[in-house]
Amino acid sequence: MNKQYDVCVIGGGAAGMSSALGAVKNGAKKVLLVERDIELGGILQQCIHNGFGLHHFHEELTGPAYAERLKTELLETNVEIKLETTVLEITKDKTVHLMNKVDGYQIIEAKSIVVAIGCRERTRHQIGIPGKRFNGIMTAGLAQRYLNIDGYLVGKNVFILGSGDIGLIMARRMRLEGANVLGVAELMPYSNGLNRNIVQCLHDYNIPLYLSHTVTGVSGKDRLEKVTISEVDENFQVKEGTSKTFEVDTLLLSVGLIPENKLLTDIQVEVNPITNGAYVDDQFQTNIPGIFACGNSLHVHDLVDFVAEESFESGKNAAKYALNQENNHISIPVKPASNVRYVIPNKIKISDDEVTFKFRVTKPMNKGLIIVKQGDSVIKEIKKSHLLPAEMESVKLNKSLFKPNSQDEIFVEVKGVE
Amino acid sequence: MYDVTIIGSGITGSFIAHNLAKYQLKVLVLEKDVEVGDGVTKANSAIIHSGYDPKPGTLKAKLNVLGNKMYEQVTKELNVDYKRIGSYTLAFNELEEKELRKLYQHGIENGVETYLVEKEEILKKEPNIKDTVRLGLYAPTTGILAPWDMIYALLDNALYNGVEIKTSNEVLNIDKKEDHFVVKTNQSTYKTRYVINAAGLYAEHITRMVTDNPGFKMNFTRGEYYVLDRGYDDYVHHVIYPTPTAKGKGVLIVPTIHGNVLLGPTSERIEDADSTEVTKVGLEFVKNHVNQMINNTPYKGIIRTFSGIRPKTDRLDFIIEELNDTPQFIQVAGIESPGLASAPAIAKMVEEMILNKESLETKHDYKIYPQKQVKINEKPIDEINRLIKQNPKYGTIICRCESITEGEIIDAIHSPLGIRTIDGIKRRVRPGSGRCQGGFCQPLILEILARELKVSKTDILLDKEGSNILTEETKINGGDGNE
Ligand SMILES: Cc1cc2nc3c(=O)[nH]c(=O)nc-3n(C[C@H](O)[C@H](O)[C@H](O)COP(=O)(O)OP(=O)(O)OC[C@H]3O[C@@H](n4cnc5c(N)ncnc54)[C@H](O)[C@@H]3O)c2cc1C
Ligand SMILES: Cc1cc2nc3c(=O)[nH]c(=O)nc-3n(C[C@H](O)[C@H](O)[C@H](O)COP(=O)(O)OP(=O)(O)OC[C@H]3O[C@@H](n4cnc5c(N)ncnc54)[C@H](O)[C@@H]3O)c2cc1C
Repeated sequence: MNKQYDVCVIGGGAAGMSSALGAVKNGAKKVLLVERDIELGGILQQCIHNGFGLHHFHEELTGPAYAERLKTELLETNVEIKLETTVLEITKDKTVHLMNKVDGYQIIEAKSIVVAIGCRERTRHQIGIPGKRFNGIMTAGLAQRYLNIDGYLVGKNVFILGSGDIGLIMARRMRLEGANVLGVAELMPYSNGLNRNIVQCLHDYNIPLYLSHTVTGVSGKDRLEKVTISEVDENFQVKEGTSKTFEVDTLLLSVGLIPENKLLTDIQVEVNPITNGAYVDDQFQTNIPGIFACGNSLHVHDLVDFVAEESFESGKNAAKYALNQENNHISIPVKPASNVRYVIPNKIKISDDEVTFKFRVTKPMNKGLIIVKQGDSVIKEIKKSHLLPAEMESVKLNKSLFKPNSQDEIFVEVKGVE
Repeated sequence: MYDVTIIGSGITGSFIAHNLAKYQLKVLVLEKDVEVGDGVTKANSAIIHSGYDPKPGTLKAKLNVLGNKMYEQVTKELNVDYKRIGSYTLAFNELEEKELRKLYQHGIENGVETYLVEKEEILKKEPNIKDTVRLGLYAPTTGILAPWDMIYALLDNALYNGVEIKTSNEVLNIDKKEDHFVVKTNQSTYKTRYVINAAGLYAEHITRMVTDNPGFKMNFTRGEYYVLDRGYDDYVHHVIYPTPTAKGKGVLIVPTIHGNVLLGPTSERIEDADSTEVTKVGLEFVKNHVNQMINNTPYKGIIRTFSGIRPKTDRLDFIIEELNDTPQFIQVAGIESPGLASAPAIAKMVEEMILNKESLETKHDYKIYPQKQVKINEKPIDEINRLIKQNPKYGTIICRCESITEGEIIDAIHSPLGIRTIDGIKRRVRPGSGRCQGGFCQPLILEILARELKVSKTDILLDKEGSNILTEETKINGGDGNE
């Protein structure tokens, strides 16, 4: 066993970098940031389109440019950075097992750990697309990496399943690189991507979006040759006689992201089955004291600005924990109620700080009333237009609004209004 | 002139090559695919069945029981992971109970150790089994292994001992001469005294190259599966079978040697030897049948689906014989389940058929070369650090899900057999077989393959010929994309 750190941050994407900044700017002396890739930046490195940073830097940056900003800021601090280093496991008593080609296998100790290892894409197998296992079906993010980092196209005639942001952006991107994009099918009656991406990536290029449609067949010999899509009803049952066939050599899947949580589940951190990320309190602390989670490995974000903001906070809290290691507070559970899929944090400690509830609605609503309740009493009501499942909502409140001596649970709900 | 040419590098062809390698024979293995073992053997339940199930008196019964016994030694000799985890076959109603008692008798006749066990015993060993279970048949010798691990070990060893293995060589035609054959492939032509037809699903096709009376008709039956992620160690501990029916062994629950669980297979007659698709109906069938036996199946842990095709024939038994009208053409056809379990015994039988016709001497320098594959994630820390000092590439993790390093991947590429494709690497060292299914590591592996094989990235295949992953380079002339 060697080296004792105050805070060890795992993952050098937007979340990890922000978290390390949060830790070092809030008094942590020895901070270690571990990244498995050859450079910092995470998924931002392959997002060469712009649209990043409007909230945080008040500018439209590309992914790599955004990453560069954080990196520059980070390099001015004394955070120790280990690149090309993979964390293999962490333990409840906060050791970190890591490996690289220079130091070999090392176990280090930290007073607190932040897990910021991002998410992975759902694959064909997880959504059970029937058909042969020929080549030509791939996740959109993987195709994006091949195109934007390695400089290769994965196909010439493309269809896309799922209207998540990565799928939408890849529709435009492949089109610009000379591929034909024949359409995007989406199971839900609304898109799962940001509105601006639907306009800028599909409408501007006349790429059709087939809502309430799914892939019902793929065929080909060694490579994909045809994709068949069909319309579905309210219960997602395929409607007979609605099928359309497209001759394509590539089907890209943008069907959801899953937070990476293996490092955490291995040590029995409680996981929210809805988000697949850890249950955390308003410090971003998991049920294991001193172990924190943030970024896409906590819940999937649509905007990197929110990742950065949230992760800075988690780093700050990790630093606080490392410095005084107190953990004797009363926590009140926070739960999603009607029309809300999930809320983060999952519990809060009553104090006079502020807390931001982040949540997603279950269906699009033109106008809605966001209600925060404790027990039966309404704490706050906020009117809001255009609530979309694709866009994360957030409500910032002062915690002194809540009843200090009550154990009543807090609920976040949304009511549709006419 | 070769003495023996084996068509097919599945588990049967590989065991035969391994057995013949010890004699003073010039042996050739021909495989149509880019990688070895990419046929039936790559997609099955991977069980070394104990042998109580096949009808007493059949070749299947005899070779299964013998094969199961032989695996113990051959896996030890070649250093291949093999575990006898045992199995429970379960009866949930009176009819099944009666069947199960009959199976118990089969077991006795076939000479297999089995025990009838009561409900309490089953639930104690497998708490997730539905408590409507009435009776079980416990077979302690049921084993599991990774079929391709076995194939690589057998063929590496055969190669070291002088057997020639030629992949991407599809047999197109066989010319029968007076005392030898001329085998023509898409690459070349080979003269050989014996042909061993171990072509799996294509056995009838190959036989028709030398005779109009193959003596059997090949049928295809597909089986579809789910694969669960590792980490559900409490779900099952043994192979779980329902009581078999006329249609076969039914939908099973099978722990794999790597810590995953397989759910499946279905059993459906199909027309085509390459209809390896999964279907909605098939996968739902699997779920329904699993749900009839067991609770708490972690379906959220599904990371993959696949299907395999059984090479059944109308003779309903393995066909291992010299072809009537064509001496020196040895038929190894209809090797459906339990073909994997029987393979060592099948090879022994083929070896003896040749020994009965020829007097063979063993090679004086014959040696067994056990697998020496470095598996970083199974080593103690000191050992890992020693290895990384020797070769720093053992320190770079390429596959996050399975913790596989660059060094291990490079070892596989330069192994005697050589690995050329992304799926080949996946079978040999496992990157891409985890929960992200290659989402992170595929580009890295593609790069390592291109670099080590000194070819362009666009030449790298997923598995079969024509399955190139990258179709074209976009920035050849220093272009900068458009965005
Ligand atoms: C394709 C795509 C398009 C997007 N487009 C936009 C957009 O237009 N505008 C916008 O605002 N946002 C966008 N986003 C969202 C935003 O980029 C992400 O939410 C944010 O970058 C996620 O940051 P992260 O640090 O949580 O995850 P990641 O960037 O995934 O970082 C995780 C890091 O952890 C490392 N890691 C993982 N495991 C280990 C380990 N065991 N040991 C060491 N290191 C490890 C990884 O290598 C990686 O670098 C997009 C996201 C994607 C995927
Ligand atoms: C769904 C399913 C589940 C099963 N479960 C089990 C089990 O749990 N336990 C068990 O014991 N058995 C099981 N089996 C059976 C077992 O998988 C097979 O018996 C065994 O794999 C057959 O191996 P093989 O070598 O005969 O055929 P293959 O593995 O198919 O090998 C034949 C090879 O010949 C090559 N070839 C074909 N034509 C040509 C040509 N013209 N030129 C050159 N090469 C050619 C093919 O490419 C292939 O690589 C299962 C089978 C299936 C389908």
